[in-house]
Amino acid sequence: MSVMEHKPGGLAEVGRFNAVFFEESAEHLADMERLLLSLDPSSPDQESLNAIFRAAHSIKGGAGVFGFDDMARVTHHLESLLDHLRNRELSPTADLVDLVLQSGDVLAMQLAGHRDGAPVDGQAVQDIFTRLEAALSACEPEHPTAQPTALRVETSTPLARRGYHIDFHPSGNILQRGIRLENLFRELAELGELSVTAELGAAAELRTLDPELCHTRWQLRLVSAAAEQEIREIFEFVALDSELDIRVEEAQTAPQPAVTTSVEAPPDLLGRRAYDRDESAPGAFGRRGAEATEASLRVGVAKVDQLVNQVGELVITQSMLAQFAEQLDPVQFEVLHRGLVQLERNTRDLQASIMSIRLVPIGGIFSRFPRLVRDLAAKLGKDVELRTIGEGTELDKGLIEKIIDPLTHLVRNSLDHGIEAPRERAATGKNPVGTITLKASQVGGRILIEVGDDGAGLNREKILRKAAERGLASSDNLSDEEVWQLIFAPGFSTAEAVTDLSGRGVGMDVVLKNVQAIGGRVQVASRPGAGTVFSLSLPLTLAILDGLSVQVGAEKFIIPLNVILESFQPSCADLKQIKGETQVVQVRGDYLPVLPLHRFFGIEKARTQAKEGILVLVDTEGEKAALLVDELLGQHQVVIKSLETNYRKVEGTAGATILGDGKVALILDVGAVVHLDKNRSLQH
Amino acid sequence: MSQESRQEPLKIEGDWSISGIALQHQRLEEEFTLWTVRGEGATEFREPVFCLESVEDIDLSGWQVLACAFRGLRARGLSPRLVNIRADLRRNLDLLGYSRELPIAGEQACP
Repeated sequence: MSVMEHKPGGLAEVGRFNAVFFEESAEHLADMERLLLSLDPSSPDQESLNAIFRAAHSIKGGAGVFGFDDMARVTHHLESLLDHLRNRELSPTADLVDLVLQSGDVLAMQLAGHRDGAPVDGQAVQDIFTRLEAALSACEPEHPTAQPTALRVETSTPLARRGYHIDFHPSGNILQRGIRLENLFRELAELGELSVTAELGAAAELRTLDPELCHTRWQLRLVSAAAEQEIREIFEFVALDSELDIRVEEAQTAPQPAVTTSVEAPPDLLGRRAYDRDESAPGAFGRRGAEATEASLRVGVAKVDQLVNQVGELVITQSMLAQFAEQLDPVQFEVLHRGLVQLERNTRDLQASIMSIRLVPIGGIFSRFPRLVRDLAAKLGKDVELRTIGEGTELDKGLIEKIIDPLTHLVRNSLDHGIEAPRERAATGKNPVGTITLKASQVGGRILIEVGDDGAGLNREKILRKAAERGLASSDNLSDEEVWQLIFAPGFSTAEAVTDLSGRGVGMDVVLKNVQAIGGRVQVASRPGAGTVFSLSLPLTLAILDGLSVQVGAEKFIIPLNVILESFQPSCADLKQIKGETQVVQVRGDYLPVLPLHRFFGIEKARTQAKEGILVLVDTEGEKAALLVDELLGQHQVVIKSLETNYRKVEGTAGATILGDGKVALILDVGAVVHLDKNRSLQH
Repeated sequence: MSQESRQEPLKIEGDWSISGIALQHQRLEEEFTLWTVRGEGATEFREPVFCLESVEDIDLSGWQVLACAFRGLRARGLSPRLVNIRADLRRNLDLLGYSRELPIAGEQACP
C-alpha cells in the first residue's frame, strides 16, 4: 500500500515542498557557475569564494532534509573542496574550476532525476565523487570524511556559546512531505551540544492515531556559538506551516576548547564541519547571509497565473462598462463617467502591477552562457569573450523559458560559424579574441534581445548558391536583408561540415518558428568581416496580445500584429484566378495566395470577392499570404483566453478574447491557418 | 509480529517508515488488545518486550506509533521495553528525542 495515495494532498504536498528545494537548488547551481566563471584565478574575490561555498552548502542542507542522499554525498565533498578554496589553501586553477563546474553538472543531473524522473548517469556520479575525493586527498590527507564518526570539534578560538531553547511543532503532514527531521536535527547537533525531547500529543491514542501524521512536538536545547539566524535557516524548508520558537537562554561565554556533541555523526557525514562554527570565518554558516534577510515571498506560478486571469476578467468587465457608458449622456451621467475613467486607470495599474509579478530579469538566462561559451570555445580552439548587457531587463517568465533554446542556438552558431579561428582573425588585423555580445533592452512595449558577434559575417554568395542548390526562390537582385532571411528556410545550412555543435541544417528555421510562436520576430544584420547581429523582438508578456480586430460576416477575429505586414484593398488588376477557387494577389512582383477567412471558418454572409474586401498581408514562419476580411475594425490590446480550457480546440485559432461589447472574438493562429489552407488546397 | 509465550517478546518486523506505517499500525493495534488483556490479568505479562531485531526501516512515524502503544500500556500499569535495537536505529531514536518515551530493556525506564 502506498501511504500517500489515500491522503488528500499528500503527493501534492511533497511536490510543493520539493519544488521549493528544486527551484532553490537550481538557483544555487546557477549562482555557483556564474561566480566560478567570473573568478580571476590570480586574485580570486573572497566574497565570491564564500558565496560559491554557501551555494554548495545550501544544496547539501536541503538535500539532507528531503532525503536526496545522493546529492548530499556529492555536495558534501564539493563543499569540503570549496572550503579549502575559500580558506586559500587551494588556488582556483583551471582544473579545479573545471572539477567544480563538472560537479555542478552532476548535481544538476541528479536534481533533474529527482525532479523530472530524468535518467541519472550513475557512472558520471561515481566518477565525480572519485575525482572530488582525490582532489581532497591531495590537499588534505585526513579530510573530514576520513575522521571517526563521533563529531569532535576542536577550536583554539574562544567562542561565545549560548544556550537556545527551541520549541518546534511541525505541521501534521510533514511526514507525507517526505521530510526527514532526523537530518534536520543532525544538522542542529553539529552546531553544538543538542538535547532533543519528543512530546507525543496528549490526545494520541493507538486506536485513533493517524499514523501518517506527525503528532509530535519537540523541545530542543542547543548550546552553540551559532547565531540564531543560522539555527532558523536550518528550519527553512520546514518553517512553512510549522510553529517554531527559538529563545536565547543566558549566555555562556566561557571558552570551550573542545566539544563533543551528544549525537554521533552519521556514517555518511552529511553535516557541517568545524569551520561552520566560527562566526568570523569568511562565509560562515554555509548559508545565505544577506540574501536571507531580503524581503521576498516565493509564490507558485499557478497562483500568479490565476491572478493574471482574474485581472484579465476585470479588464474585460471594465471595457464592457466603458462601452456601455458611451451611450449615456455625459452631462447627466458625469459622476458615472468620472468614476469609470478612474476605474479604467485603476484597472490598468492593477493589471500592470500583476503582470510585473511574472516578470523576471533576463540575467538568469544570460548567466547560462559564460559556461557554454567557455566550453565550446575550448572545443573549437577559439578565444572568445562573452559580453552581456542589460541583464536587468525583465521579461515574462513564460517567455523566458521559451527563449532559452533559440538563444542557445544563436550563440552556438556565432561561436561555430561566426567567430573565426585566432590565427585567421590575426591575419585580417582583428583581435585574436573574438567577442559575442548578448544584449537585452526594452523598446516601447517589446523586448529586444540581440546576439551579436564580431566574426566574419554572413557570406552572401554562399547563401545564394546554397539557396539555388536547395531550390529556394532567390535571385542576385535580392537585398542583403532578403538574402539573410534565406537562412531561416527549413534545412538550410551553409556549413561545410556537420559538427556536433551546428551545421546540421536544422536550427535557424526552428529558431524562427519558436520565436514566432511566442509572438516574436527575428531580424538579421551582417557585414562581411565585421560580424552579425540577430535581433529578437519579443512581446512583454504572453497573457496580453497586440492585435488587429477584423470583421468577417457577423464574426470578429483578432490577427496578431506581429505577423501583419500591411493591409490594402486590391484592385482587379492585381488579382488572378489560378485554378479552381484559388486566387493570388500580386504585391510588388510577388504572387501571394489569397486566403478568404470566411471560407476557412465556414462563415456565411461575408464578402467573398477579394476586390470587395480588404487583404491583410501576413508573414508567418517565412510564408506569406493575404487574408481576405470584410473590414478592419481597429487595433487592440487583448487579454488571451484559452479556448481549450473553456470550450474546445478550434483549428486555426490561438485562443479567444472578450471584446468591450461582451462578444467573443477568436484570435487567429495565422501560421496554422496558412498551413491548413495550403493542405486543403492540395487535397482538392 | 508474533507472541507465543510470556517469555517471547513481541517481534516488530519490516517497514516502520512512512511507507509502511499504515499497515504496521493496523497490526500493532490488533496485538495491543491482546497484550493489554494479558497484562491486566497476569503478572508475567506486566513487562512486555518489543524486539526490534527484524525491523528493516523505521522513522518518526514508526517511533510515534510505538510511543503511543507504550503510553497505552503504561496507562494500564504495564512497563513495556524495547530490545535488540540496532545501533543505527538507536541513533535515530535518540536523534528524534523518543528515547525517554521508548525505554530500552536494561536502561532507565520512562518516569
